[in-house]
Parts: sequence; C-alpha cells; structure tokens
Amino acid sequence: MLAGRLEAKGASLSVKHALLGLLARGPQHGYELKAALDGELVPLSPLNFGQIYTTLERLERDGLVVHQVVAQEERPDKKVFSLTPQGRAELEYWLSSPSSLSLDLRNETFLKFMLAGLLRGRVPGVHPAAVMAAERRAAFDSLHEVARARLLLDPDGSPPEVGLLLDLASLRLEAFLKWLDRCDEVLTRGASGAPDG
Amino acid sequence: MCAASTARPAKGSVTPAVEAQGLTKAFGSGPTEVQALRGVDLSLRQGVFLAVMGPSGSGKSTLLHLVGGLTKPTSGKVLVGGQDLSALNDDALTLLRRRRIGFVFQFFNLLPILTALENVALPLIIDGVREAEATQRAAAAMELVGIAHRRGHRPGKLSGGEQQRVAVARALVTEPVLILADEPTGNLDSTTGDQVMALLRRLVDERGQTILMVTHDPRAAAMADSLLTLKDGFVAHEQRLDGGRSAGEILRELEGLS
Amino acid sequence: MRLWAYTVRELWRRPGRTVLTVLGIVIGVAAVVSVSLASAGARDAFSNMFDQVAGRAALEVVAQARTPFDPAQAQAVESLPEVEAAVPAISVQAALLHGQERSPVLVLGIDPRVDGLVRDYVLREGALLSDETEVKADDLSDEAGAGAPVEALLEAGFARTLGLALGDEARLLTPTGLATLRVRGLLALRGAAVFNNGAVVVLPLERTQRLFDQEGRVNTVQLVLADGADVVAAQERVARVLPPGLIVQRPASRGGLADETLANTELGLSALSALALVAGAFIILNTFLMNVGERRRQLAVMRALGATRRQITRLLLREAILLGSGGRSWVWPPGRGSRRYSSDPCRVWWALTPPASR
Repeated sequence: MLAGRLEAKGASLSVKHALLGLLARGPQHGYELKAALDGELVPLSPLNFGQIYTTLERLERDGLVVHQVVAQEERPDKKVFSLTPQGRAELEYWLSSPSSLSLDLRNETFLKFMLAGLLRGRVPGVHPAAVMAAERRAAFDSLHEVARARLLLDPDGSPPEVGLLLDLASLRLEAFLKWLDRCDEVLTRGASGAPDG
Repeated sequence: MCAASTARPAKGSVTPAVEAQGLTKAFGSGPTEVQALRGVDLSLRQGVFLAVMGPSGSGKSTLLHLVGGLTKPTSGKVLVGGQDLSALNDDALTLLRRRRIGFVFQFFNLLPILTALENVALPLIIDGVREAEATQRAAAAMELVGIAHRRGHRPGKLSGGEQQRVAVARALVTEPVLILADEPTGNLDSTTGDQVMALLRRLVDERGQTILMVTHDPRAAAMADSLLTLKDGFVAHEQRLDGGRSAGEILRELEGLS
Repeated sequence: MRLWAYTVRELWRRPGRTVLTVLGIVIGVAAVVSVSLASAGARDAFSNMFDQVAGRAALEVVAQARTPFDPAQAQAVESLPEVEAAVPAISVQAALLHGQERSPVLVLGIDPRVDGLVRDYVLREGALLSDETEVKADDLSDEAGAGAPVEALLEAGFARTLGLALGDEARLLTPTGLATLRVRGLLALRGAAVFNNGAVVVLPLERTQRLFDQEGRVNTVQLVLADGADVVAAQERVARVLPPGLIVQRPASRGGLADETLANTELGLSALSALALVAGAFIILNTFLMNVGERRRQLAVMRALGATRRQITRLLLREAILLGSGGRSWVWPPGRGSRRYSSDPCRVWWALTPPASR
C-alpha cells in the first residue's frame, strides 16, 4: 500500500470509532459505511469488508450499535445499522480524549542499528552503515510515493484535505530521514574517534 | 560510479544531457587546500530529473557550478549535450550557458527593474533575439508555468512562489537541454515549495525536460526521479526513486478515492 | 545592441538614483574642473604679471647678494653680439604721503629712453616719462633743481584711492627726506603698473637713485637678446664677462618678493587642486561603487544567463558615458565661467588676496 511502512506502524487506527462516528449521522448499511470510510476518513488506505463487518459485530455485541434487516426486492436483505445511546456516549468520550501518540520507544530501526553495531565483524556483511543506507533508501522511496500521490491528487501541488494526510506522512518521513542523518553522524564520529572494536 | 539513470525511456536523442567523468575540484592550494569534489561520475539521460543532496560542504553546489560551466574542474570533464566544457573558452562557455542551460536560483535572482515578462525575455535579448519575438516567446513560457497573468508586474510586487515561477519561465525560455536548479524551494514555505516542485515535475513528465537540482530539502528531492547524495566530495549514495512502480500504478491505487 | 536598449530602462525607471549618480558626477567633475581651471588661470595670471614686470627681457643681471650695484660693472655685456640692449632699473620700497593717506609703494626707477624695450606702459591719462624729465634732473646741484617736483607715473586705480589726479602733487618719504612728486601720467593696470598690486610709483632712474641715496646703482640690468639668439648660450656668454658678485639669470627667477609670492601661491593652488581632485574622485568613485555594488548581483545573474564579459563591460561603459556626458553638460557652464573669471589676472589677484591686505 501507499506508505506501507507507516501503515504497519500505525495499525492502531480505531475502525470502531470511525464506524460509530459515521453512524452518528444516521442509520447506514455496510456498503455505505465502507464507501464513506474509503472516501473521507481513511482515504489512502482502503479497509476490506471483512474488517468492517467483524468490527460491526463486535460493536453490536457490546451494545453500542443495533441493526434491523430491511427487505429488498430481487436482492438479498440488507442490514441497516444505527447508534445506541451507549454508542453515542462512547463516541463523544473518544472524540474528547486525545489520541494516543506512540513515543515509539521500541523502535525497530533503532534496534537494527544497535544490533548491527554489536554484530559487526562477527556476522559477515553486517554493518550499521549498510542498515542505515537501506533504511534511507526505503524512506526516500516512500517519500517519493507520497510526493507523486500529492501530485496526482492535484497537479498544481496543493490537494485539499487529503493533502493533510499526505503532509503528515511526508513530515514523518522527513523527520525519519533527519534522524538517519543523526545516526550517520554518530557512526562517523565513532569511526574517527575510537578504533573499531 | 555510473549514477542516476532511470527506467524512464529517453526522450529525444540518446546522448546524455549531462555527463561528468572523474570530476574533482580543489579550492586554494598548499596546506589550506580544500577538496570540494574528489572524483564524481555522473550520467544524466534526457528527460530525467536528478536531485543532488548532501550536507553543506559536501560539494553539491560545486558540482552544480561545474556542470553549469560557471567554474572549471581541477580534473575530469563535464559534457553538456555531448559538448565537452573543457574544450570551450570563456566566450563559448558563456554561449553554451546562454543557449543550452537554464538556471533557477534559491533567491530567484530576477532583475528588480524589469517586469516579469522582461525578465523572462532577458536570456533571449542577451542572445540578440528581436524584442518582439523575445516577448512572444517569453509570454508563451509564462503561460506554461501559469504565471502569464503577472507579466506586467515587477518582481517586488510578486510573492516568492510567483517569483520562482517567473524564474522557471526564464530558465525555460531558451528551450535548454538542461535546467540547473539551486535550492529552488530554499526560500519558499512548504506549500509554495510543493507548487514549484510540482511545476518542475510537470516539465519533466510532459516536456521531457532534463533537470539537475541541488537541494537539502528531502521533500523537494523526493520529487525527482533519481537521487544522488554527496558526502565529503564523494558520491555516498545513489538511488532511483520510482521504486519500480509506475505513475499509472499509483494512480490506479488512488482512483475513486477522493 | 538590443540588450543595451533593454537594460537602459534601469536609468529612467529609477530616476532618483540616476539623478543622484549624475549629481555625484557633476559635483565631482565640477570640483576638479573649476579648481584646476582657477588654478591654471591664477598661475597664468601670476606668470603674466611677473612677465609684465620683468618685461620681455630674456635675461637679467643682478647682484648675487641682491643688493644694488653699479651697472658699469656689467657694461661688458652690451658689447656681446647676442645682447641687443641692456636696460637698467632700480626698485625700492618707500611710502607715499598725500593728505592723511600714507601708502607703502614700490618705487621703480627706469630709464625712459630704453625701458619701453622690456616693459609695457599703457597710458590712461597724461604723458609718459621722457628724456626731458631726466634732463631736468641734470642740474640737481642747485637748490631749485633738487626741490623741483619729480615727474611720476602712477597706476590709475591706485591714484584714485589716494585721491590723486593728473598734475596733483604728493610726497614721497625717502632716506634723504621728503620729495615732492607730480603725477605726470596715469597708467592702466597692465605691464609695469601691475607690480605690487598697482601700488607702484614709476620715476626717472637718476632721480630715483639720488632720492634713495643710490647714485649710480641699479637692482637689475635687463638684457634684450638679438633676434634668434639662443638664451642658454647667451646666458653662458654673459656669465663669462660678468665680474664676481654679479650673476645672470632668467627673469623667471625674479626678485625675492616675486619668488616668494609665486611659491606661496603655487603651493596653495597645488594643495587646493589636489584636494579637489581627491574629493571629486572620491565622490565619483563612491557614486559608482554605490551603483555597481547594488547591481553586482544583477550583473552576476546576467553572466549566469549567458551575457559575455564583453557585453557586461560594454553595458557599464555605455551607461557611464551616458551618465558622464549628462553630468558634464551640467558642469560645463560653471567650468567655462571659472575659466573666464580666472583668465582675468586682476580678478584672480583680488580673489586670492585676503580682504585685509587689499
């Protein structure tokens, strides 16, 4: 997917609250919910149906939503979901509390950087500089994709709200690249300051 | 090292737009000598957008100046459109710069006394093109970069983004083989910078323009097709940026989303 | 070249700066031009003035000690083929008294028969000195002769300030006592009358010698050379026949007073010229540096856009010529004015003399 690395790290996205929020506008059935999610709320990383229905079932079990079956001619009946008072309360609570921003202190890249340093000279072909170069390459590839996506959404380079999501991705990647520069500095200083261990 | 070629099909002839071989450049001499470049090879095909990155002092500006024929290398050679720059005297070099290279600078460097249109026409005027024709071609270039409505304004009356658009139009007006851009977003906010980068990208995609851009802004660099990172006068890192995915694939992915 | 027409817009789109630049050039050039013209004019005037006093003589014989001497000592020079004529003269300081007025004057004793060969006398009124004025002095032994008024020539302007008219009498304070002068002629401020700012009394030579107790002595014998004679060669010949104590020199190096005046004035003028030159150059340089400094980047940009060095140089030169000729056309009227002014020696003399000493 687009910016796949970020997606993996940001898997905590609350599909549950996204659905509660959409239902707060009025009863909707599954297809409508998916279309709204893809179009407005999670525009660049489509969810699959299975994920949406599983979440709806869980919400119903917890008493946050209810559904009624609407019969259709020449088509299967459809389930129309609506919000319960408890569901509305949960949505309001969630909206008013800040999102949990991960400090990411169990960072994978950092782990690779440190391990490569420890294993350097013991395991052939392992070097922290190589690890960081691969990270940089991947980060730039992602950044390039974000840039191209921004351009495709608006050839003049200024897409509307979706652009904000791309901006967030871009800024995170830029921060990550800046951090890689720091790692390089540390490596260079270590190499010139002390003999290799 | 043979860097910076992409999967993008070459447009026009197969002669690389820019080639550099074993490029070195030293400033000063004796104990104070500074090696700005220590042997850089480069081959940039036509219709490719190359970003050169690196910390300050890495030699990226030196590389730009050498490729633009603004300074001469200590050793090695530069070919622009197949023409060896070291074989040219000062006047011939100036002529090459005038007709085959367009410059875009960080601080726009428009002449404050001339209107936007006159600024764009200036390279043609320098080349001795009649004013009527120069004005007509300048107007077309301004149309292309979407700044035609500001043709009568002096640079002081334009925003930074508009000034840089005018500068891009000026770089384009001679239909150069190569556009050299030196930190083109360095003096712009990120939104305006994005717009200028979108413009450069469009010139590459739609017109097959070759661009060599020096920048320290990864966001701008990410717009290029290829990335060359210099460190201490060497090429430390080089990368093709399309990641094997075509623009069409990305587009399909995004289709129907927004 | 089209580029020129294109970039000259700079000049009229920034009229303020253009006017400032031109003004800088105007002031700078005007300072240098006017001062150097005034200096040259003043120098000419002085040179003319002393030439007029020294006259047309090519050489003069003076005592090494600058004291009066007997012209008979120099008689030998008259026989030299190079020497056409030898004209003796004596000059002494004295005071002229008339009514309550007392004025220091330079008394110039001349031989009326020959002095016209070396000095100009331009008569305004009355008559010049003649043989008979000298003849009258022949019988000075008798009381009447000694007491008879001495015929004198005065500069007209100077006489007027003393209230003296043609035929009036004045008294001259001399080492031998008070002598009575009668104004025989009034001179224009030209030739011999220019000396000492016009405060000159021209008297017959022998009467002067007696009045000042310098019988048979002169300060100088001026030599008029024969046509085509070489001055340097003549000077050598003359020097050889002169007795010790007498020297022959070019009138360019004149009496002490003249030398000193000339040297002082020259020094002042040179300093003034140098100052004006430095100031003018500074102003012009500054104006141009301001101008070029502001446009340095523009010129660098034009170079990057493909303008050759020659194009840029030509551009700047043409602009400099345009601005410069604009500036010069402003300067020209005052420049010409100062030229006219300075070409009149009297006016420069007056301009350069402190008011107190006038």
